[in-house]
Amino acid sequence: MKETVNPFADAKPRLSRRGREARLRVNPEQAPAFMPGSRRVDSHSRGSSIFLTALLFLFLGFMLIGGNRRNPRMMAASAVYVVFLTVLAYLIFRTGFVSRYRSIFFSAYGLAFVLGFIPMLLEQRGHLALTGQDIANLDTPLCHLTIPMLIVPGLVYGVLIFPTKLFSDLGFFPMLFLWLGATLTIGKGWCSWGCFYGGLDEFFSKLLPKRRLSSRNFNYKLRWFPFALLAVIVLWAFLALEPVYCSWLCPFKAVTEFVKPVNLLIWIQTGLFIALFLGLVVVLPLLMKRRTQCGLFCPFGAFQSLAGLVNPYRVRVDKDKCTQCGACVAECPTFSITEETLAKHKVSISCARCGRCMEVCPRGAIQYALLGVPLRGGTETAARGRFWKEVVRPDSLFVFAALLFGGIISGGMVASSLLRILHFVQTGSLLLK
Amino acid sequence: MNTIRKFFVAARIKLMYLIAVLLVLLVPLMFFAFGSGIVEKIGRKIPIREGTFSATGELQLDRGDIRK
Repeated sequence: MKETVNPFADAKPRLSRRGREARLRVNPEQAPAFMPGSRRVDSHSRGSSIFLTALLFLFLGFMLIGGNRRNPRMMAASAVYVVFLTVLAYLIFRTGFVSRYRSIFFSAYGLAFVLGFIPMLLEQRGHLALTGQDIANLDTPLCHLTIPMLIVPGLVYGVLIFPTKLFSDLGFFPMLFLWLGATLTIGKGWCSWGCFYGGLDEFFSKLLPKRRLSSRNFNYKLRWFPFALLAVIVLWAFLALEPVYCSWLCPFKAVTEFVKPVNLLIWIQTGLFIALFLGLVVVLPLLMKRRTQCGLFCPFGAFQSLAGLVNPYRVRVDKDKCTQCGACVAECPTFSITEETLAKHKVSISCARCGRCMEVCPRGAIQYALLGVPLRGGTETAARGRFWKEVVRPDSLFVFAALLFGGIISGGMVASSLLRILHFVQTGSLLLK
Repeated sequence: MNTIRKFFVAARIKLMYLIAVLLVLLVPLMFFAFGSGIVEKIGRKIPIREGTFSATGELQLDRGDIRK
């Protein structure tokens, strides 16, 4: 009778110790699967990788390059970006390392946003510091973080409490439609594939090679703080008829726009924005190598966790494969897997679909899954070469949709930032007008 | 009974895959909708209007704004 060998019987938790990660002990036969440059067990065959990448290239090319055909410079910059995304997409499908290559795309998107937004605001409005007159003229940019605060007063009073018509005559509604579309297509995946603020958090969390602040004694109950904050700001915005998160707590005010500091109150608000940005987006992600703003503070992330339940994609843990080694607990960037959730073979509602847990799991026990569809089994997971089965796997479909969405939404921002960099090299100014 | 259950499970799985494929197609459709003006049409029909703000930046809300 053939003896069954469990190659992971000796697997040790890969928790952080003194800033270093303990080496994962596995059967040497399986070790190559975890070496840099190797492929994960659920990577795609060359044929299906090329097919999915080519399809993505066609979609992105048509939308981004074709959409800018009246502006040759933007068209060229978009073409560069489409090629960049295509290469990343191929690497994601071929190697199965979703988070590793997504992180490059997402960081580039976050940096391009900062580089492009402030010059764009200057071109549009003529000045950066927001004044009362700008608010009265509705000359204020709007982002998705305002959505939870605007819905209740909008429904009750029929009035938007945020003054915005700067980038569109329709004000709030394009953002609302974009959010609805994102929620339907990628759900909570917005936080790892579509949110320009999350890209900054991601960038800083990847900068240092080693973790400087261990999260071994971290209180994982703090991951519920964004939900509490969400409840507070929604209620407060309704009672005060003011977008309170934007006025007091948004860390990204530090890199977008600020209210002209004319009195002590506004100085305090500005100080808060800068402190929150430095603490949650720069310092803690650098030290902990986790997305602390996204996982422990962002109320929109909490809102999207709830709204994203309408989307059929989930991240699920295979009971039969999971050995409770804790590798995913130590690595989850948004603190969404704890020892308690892992014991139940589940991830928290706050999971941002980044794919990091799948990369670090020594047994390939964590997968992108579709609601109501059984997880792929051991032999099927490892099997490659069945072309159409690979193309329509839940992970292929999710990554395809998420990259397509993220690529299109980031396209304009990244292309214009590339042009701004070129312009800066030539003239010393980031302003194109 | 077992056959019927298997049939419904298979149907559910196929339906979920169909939804997943349709969601992929929804992404470009959504962005086409922005370009085609449909979003603008729908946006104008939503009965929520821009607020009026004073020069100090405060929202000015009339009592008549409160829906009955």
